[in-house]
Amino acid sequence: MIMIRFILSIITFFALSISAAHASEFSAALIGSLPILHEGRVKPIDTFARATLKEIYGRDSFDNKKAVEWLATTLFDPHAAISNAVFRIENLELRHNLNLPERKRALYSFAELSPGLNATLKDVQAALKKDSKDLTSTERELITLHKNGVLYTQLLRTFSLVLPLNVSIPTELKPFTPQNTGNENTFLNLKKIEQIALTKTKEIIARKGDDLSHYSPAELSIVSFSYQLQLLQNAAERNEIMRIIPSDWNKQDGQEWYSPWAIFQSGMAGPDTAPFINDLKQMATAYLESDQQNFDRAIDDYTTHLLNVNGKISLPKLKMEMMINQFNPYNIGFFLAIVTFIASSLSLAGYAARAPWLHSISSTALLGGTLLQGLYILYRIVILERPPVGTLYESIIFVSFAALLLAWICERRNRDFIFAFLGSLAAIALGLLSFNIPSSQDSMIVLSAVLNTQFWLATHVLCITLGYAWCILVAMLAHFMLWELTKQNALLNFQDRLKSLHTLTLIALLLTAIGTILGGIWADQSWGRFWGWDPKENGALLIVLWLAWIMHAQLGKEFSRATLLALLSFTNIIVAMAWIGVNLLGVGLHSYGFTEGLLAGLGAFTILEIGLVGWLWHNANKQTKAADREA
Amino acid sequence: MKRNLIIIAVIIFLGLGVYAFVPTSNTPINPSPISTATAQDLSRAPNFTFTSIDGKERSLNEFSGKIILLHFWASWCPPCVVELPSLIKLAKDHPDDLVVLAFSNDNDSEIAARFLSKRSINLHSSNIIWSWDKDKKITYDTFQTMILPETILLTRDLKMVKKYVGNTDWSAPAIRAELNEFLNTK
Repeated sequence: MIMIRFILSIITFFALSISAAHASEFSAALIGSLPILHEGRVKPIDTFARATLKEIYGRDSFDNKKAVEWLATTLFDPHAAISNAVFRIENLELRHNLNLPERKRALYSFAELSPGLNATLKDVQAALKKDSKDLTSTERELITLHKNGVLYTQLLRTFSLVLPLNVSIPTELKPFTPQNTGNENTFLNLKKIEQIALTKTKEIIARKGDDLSHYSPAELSIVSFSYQLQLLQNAAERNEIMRIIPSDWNKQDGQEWYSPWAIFQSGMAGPDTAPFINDLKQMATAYLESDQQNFDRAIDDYTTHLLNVNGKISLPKLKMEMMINQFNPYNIGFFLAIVTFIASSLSLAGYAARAPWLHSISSTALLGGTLLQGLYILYRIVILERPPVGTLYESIIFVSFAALLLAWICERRNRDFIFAFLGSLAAIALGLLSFNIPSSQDSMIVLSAVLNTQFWLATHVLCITLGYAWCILVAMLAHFMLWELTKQNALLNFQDRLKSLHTLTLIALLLTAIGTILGGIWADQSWGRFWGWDPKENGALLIVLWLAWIMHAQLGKEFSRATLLALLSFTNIIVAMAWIGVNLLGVGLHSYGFTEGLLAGLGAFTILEIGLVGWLWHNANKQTKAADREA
Repeated sequence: MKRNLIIIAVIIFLGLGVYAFVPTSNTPINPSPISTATAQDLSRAPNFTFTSIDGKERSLNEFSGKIILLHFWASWCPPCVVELPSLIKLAKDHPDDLVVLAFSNDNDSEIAARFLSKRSINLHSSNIIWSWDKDKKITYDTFQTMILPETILLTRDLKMVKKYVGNTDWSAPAIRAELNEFLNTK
């Protein structure tokens, strides 16, 4: 009964999460569902908006608004957007250099930031010439701020060709201005009279020179008009961030997507582009007039036109990705891992006798967490159309899922809370790592060419990452058993657990060995050699040798139980070095995996593990000797 | 056992419930964001009417059955001026199979006509139709052309094959070979 109530509460929680998200984001969700080609992948604008906002602001919502709503303001109402305090500048020295006022939250608008960005152009150019290792933290943040400034400027100008401009059409040019479009003051309409304005400007300059004080108001109006149009076009040069329009032309080379400005400036617009531009105009007008109905209709029309020119766009996949963005099954799985951890900890602490429902909660949450993390991985396979592991982030979430799954299987056999406790602890640690690894803001990235092979990703990479999961569970079980040895009265079934540990270690050895050999075959095909003593290869070999050494020593009864368990506990460190540590070196052929910024964390983990295992080993030995003396 | 089955059923139900939020569509799942064009992918050019410089009312559809080059140009545009002789030569070389519809983006039709007359270009050629694009509706609104010169190649059934952006040398062997592929089809 209690378990059913618990399950119902989970269902209610999920349902509320979804309905709340829909209720508050309905209008934003529509623009978020439009596709954009970004970082080599067609994705919903929702994903793009979240990644961009995280890049600039550090979070995926702004001012209690979803990222798509923030993006819509930036695109359709640049005048309002420049006052949004979206730039986070935590560095005091940088704030000082940019002449920014101090405030409680270090957030600044583009309008506040612009003078500082202009003033520090030389500084950032000098910083860019330096080796990245020689950069101070202020210089790094200055470079990032300038990059984000450029990105924001591009976003602000993305739709400037369809937005109503604050430009007065000179009286002399009004007769030439096409009147039948309804949007007289958009760039695309004004562009039609640009040549007339330029011709008249040349005549004025020829007649009166370039001293503006000699011009009549009418002449000044024409010259100013020409200048403004030119400025708008120049500012939009290389504005390619929002690639939302597929091109009609050169389809034989593969359909390319363009931003609204780029499609015109590259000459890749055509009759099929016209409906998109018209829909964007409708969206802009409706947005500025807060006309929800017309805004939604324009988005629907845009989607229809998109499907007309590119029938291969999969709307369900875009919707699915949006749904994952709103309601991430991995995060819910992480939450359920915490529930499992708490319930199993309490059970192991002896509360299970008084609260038998703890077992139900622990096992249900463990299964729920496993399935939800598995569901997330499945979604990613469908969206990315490749096996699930290709990046460090993906390997972490996969190992987390595999650890939970393995824990659930073992828990089904033993029903003693130990594997639920260990598996959930591993999933929590890996979850925390996944939330903090430095990576692209959009975790679903297109892989580099060397990695993008379905066969090897599905065999070598999965085998190795499954091996990591097994190794981690072995090490955690070894920790637990070492802790048991420090107690006067070890928990029941210690010998059975020792057998389980032995079996798990053998499987871990098998998976990592097969994975390493498959990696060699892949290297032979890709790089022309089976083995090159590359750091990543050495790391994989190290795990195999480490486990093989311990297994052999165990067979020969070379170690005491405490030493054996301590060595198996250290497998965690070996795996961390092979998995993440070698990526920090930045050498070898596995350059696609190079990582920065994890050295301190890895160092702290290693020291902590050595201290913890050393302490447990010492106490376990003491306890064993005391027991021997008593015997 | 029964309890576990209930758990699994609930989780599957949850998964299906979540999936139900994904609207269904007849659109096939794209194996790749990029596709290769086939003949069926080509769009038909929208029909439009225009007045030629010699005052005749024309429409695109009346040229169906011939290979068409829609050419957007202006006398104030230097690359357009450079390109014109080779384009005229091309039209002369294929009087029966090729039609060039040249739309001037000059400020008025007089400027365009004066420019052409000054260079002794025949305004009444049978397969080069010169016209002035009033209000730039054909250039800007229909064909979304902002950079001059641009030329669009249409098949005999008015399907848009290719766009030539910028100054094009129509006498270059590669371009001639490319055009001949279409000119040789009936």
